[in-house]
Amino acid sequence: MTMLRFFAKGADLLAGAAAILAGISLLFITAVILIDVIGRYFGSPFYGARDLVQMAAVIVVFGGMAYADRNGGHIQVDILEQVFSPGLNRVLTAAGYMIGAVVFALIGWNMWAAAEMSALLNMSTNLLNLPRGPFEQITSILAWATALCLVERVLDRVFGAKGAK
Amino acid sequence: EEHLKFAHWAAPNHTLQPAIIEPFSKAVSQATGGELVVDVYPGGELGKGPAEQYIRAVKGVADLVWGLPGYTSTQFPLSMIVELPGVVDEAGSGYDAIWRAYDDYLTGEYPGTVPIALWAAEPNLLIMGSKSVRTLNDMAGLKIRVSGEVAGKLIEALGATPVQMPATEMYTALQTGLIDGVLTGASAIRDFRLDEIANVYVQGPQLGNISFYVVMNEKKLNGLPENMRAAVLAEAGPALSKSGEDNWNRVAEEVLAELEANPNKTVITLNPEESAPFDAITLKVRDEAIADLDAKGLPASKVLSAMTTAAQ
Amino acid sequence: MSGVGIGVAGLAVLFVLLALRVPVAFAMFLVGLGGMAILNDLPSALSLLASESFSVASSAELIIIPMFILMGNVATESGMSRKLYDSAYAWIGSIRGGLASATILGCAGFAALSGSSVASALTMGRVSLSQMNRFGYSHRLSTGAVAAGGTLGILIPPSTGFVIYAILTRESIGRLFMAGILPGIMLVALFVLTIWLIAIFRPADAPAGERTTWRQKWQATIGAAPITLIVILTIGGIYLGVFSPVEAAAVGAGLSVLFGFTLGEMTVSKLASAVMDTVATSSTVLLILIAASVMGPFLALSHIPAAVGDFLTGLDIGRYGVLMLILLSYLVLGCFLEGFAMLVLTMPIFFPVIVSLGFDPIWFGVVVVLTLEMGLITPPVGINVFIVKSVARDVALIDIFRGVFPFLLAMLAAVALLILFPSIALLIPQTMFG
Ligand code: NA
Ligand code: NA
Repeated sequence: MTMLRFFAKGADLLAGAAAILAGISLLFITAVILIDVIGRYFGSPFYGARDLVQMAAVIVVFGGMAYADRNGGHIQVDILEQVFSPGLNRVLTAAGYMIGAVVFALIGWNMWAAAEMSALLNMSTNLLNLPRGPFEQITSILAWATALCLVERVLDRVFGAKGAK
Repeated sequence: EEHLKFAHWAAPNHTLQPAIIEPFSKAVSQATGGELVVDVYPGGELGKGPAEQYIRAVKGVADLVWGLPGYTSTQFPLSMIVELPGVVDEAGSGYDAIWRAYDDYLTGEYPGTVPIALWAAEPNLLIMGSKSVRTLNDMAGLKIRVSGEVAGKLIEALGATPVQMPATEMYTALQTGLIDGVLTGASAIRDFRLDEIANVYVQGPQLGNISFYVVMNEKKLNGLPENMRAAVLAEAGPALSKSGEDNWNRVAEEVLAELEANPNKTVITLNPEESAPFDAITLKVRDEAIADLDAKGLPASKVLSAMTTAAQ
Repeated sequence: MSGVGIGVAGLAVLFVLLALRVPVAFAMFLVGLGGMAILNDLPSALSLLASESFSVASSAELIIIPMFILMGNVATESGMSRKLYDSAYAWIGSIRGGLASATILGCAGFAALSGSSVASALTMGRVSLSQMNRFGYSHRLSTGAVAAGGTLGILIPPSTGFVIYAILTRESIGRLFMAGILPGIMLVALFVLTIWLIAIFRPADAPAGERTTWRQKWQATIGAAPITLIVILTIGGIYLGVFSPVEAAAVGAGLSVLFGFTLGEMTVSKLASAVMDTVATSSTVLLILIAASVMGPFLALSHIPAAVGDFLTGLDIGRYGVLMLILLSYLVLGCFLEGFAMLVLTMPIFFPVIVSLGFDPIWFGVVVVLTLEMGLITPPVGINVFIVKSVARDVALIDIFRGVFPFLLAMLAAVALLILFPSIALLIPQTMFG
């Protein structure tokens, strides 16, 4: 029980930290685009703005994954929710989180492999030549963090006191 | 019967079809008595992002892919020398230039795959909404859409402003005047319907060429029965690449001829004298690019001379 | 089992997983991954997880999504959305369903700003849903109107849908854009008519407000001036070529923050909450788009669209019969596929058939985009419905699907009208281009 609460707390912190990183990236993107638009209007755009925006966007998207789950959840088709018994709904919710945890673990694992491949191929962004590998490694870590948070949700549904929701 | 998956993101009737896919499928089918079949997955059916195209071949999502080295230029620093201003012109043709350098210098840029065709597009030109360019002064402050680092440096060196944007946004951007023009080859005019909104076309100066690859997953190739493997390898290389380049040039000529015949469009062809001030700048950018690569320990000068020295 | 058989089995599994309340994105990942592993091999299937995740998340075209959500959230947090609806309410609140109709008009305006249905539904959803509910509109009507109204994003130019259709078929982008205008206006009118009918038959869904005095009307209008100015600046900037639609969203968000702080309505903690909410919504939406693009290659390899095409071209049922079946298969495929993936998979098969039957390719482009719009709101995989759900967390998905149903009928009516009177689409392009 305490273990579970400890885990839940840790997952909350992890999801929050990743989301703050995502939020900073989002503000960064907005600022870069604004500087680029204003600069271009006066003849000197932000060189390579799009490179920065695209890489930061990946952090926004994956940084927010666990946070999105903990603040309303990823979208489900709830058409049969009323038909199922509370117990069954609880099992199905846990199974859904489990699938999500597996998917994110697989994304994390393959994203790390992709980073190695990117290093091998010397992949980078178009104008600024920002290497792609490090961004894939960040994405991989964020995906693993999401997987961990989803595992916590599974445990909470199976052993937790909160019951079906 | 064995099937090869050929993936690209262009339209099904894109120049790639008659230029590469048809001759290749016909040849391997004939050589194997119809045993080896090429299935085409156009329009990004097997995955959309052009930058991930090479990875898809390496990972076996597709067996063969078409792509632009320019989308991941740091993977192809030496192959992309062919895109620098003047190189295709001096070499006579882009595919010949690439294959002359391939065995000695370029093999390392294609890990996990076997290049089936490598070629260059028609020369880049300026596709302008309404503004004319006749002298260097006309370039000052123009906003030009570019797709890669070298093109960006060329546009900056010429006094204009390089702008990045996805290809699907070019049309609206030209229409609203967000950009004044696009730097690319003439065949793209048809691909992205730019003729509808671009009224001025400027050619003559050395503005480089875009290049292309078709690569095949190495494991897949080596795993094929010997007769099929031989059929693929017999077709791969300069001959197929030539077909690619010839078709691209043919389309570009058709497009330019249509534009010249159209009274509402202006095609400006700068003569060598008018082009000289432009070329002085763009060839300097090329020399700097080569020197940069040399400084990084890459044999860029050697590749350049291999590309531009005709085989004896 | 054949590729088609595996494809159909995959879709059946998807259906079951969705019914068992597996989150939509996870179900699509699972089916895409499994299908690809069977039809190709496991390593390549796994590699898709990384390549598609990264390429969708970093796509230059999709940055528009977080940017517009941010704009909508900032406008909401700083009270500007509220003032906009106060103003709309003062003018037309006394008409039954007036606010919902105003929302449809807002969606149409937003569609002229962005080329994307997802961006339209997200922003308008953020700005309008809680406002409509504040004035007593039912969840069902408000979410239905936003989900359906948002689809206008790809019918009213500029439109990513038309650009992709044009590139795949080599038709004129300019003609397609022009061809989308009248059908877009017609669909807006049909949506408004739908709301009017709902207001008559289910008055509780769309209550009429009290009459307001002229003084109240003008006060509310002045209150809405900042957000009106922001909208004018962003739309104006696009049409004057100062920035692109994607950049317009960032400019709009920036201006909203600036105005909010200047007018004293914005605080750092409100901004933080707008940002965090944007992060959560963007991740939810992008995850579904990533999952859709992991499932795309599986469906391509299964050759389901090609099998449908072969079947259709073999039938002897006249040109309108074939057209009907093609549109029907779009509706069915639209239940499972994301719109652009569907376009890419089917256009090579259906387009030559349509042209050989003598239908006008520009007209067909409009009909197809309209049908794709329907796919965005049909169950079980209706991207726009998911989008609305992502901003209206407490509304049951089934209620949104129910709310969307009358609008779906309006869209069917629009398709029927386009088939009966092709000049609705062709009049403007023919007048302009000859
Ligand atoms: Na639009
Ligand atoms: Na649907």
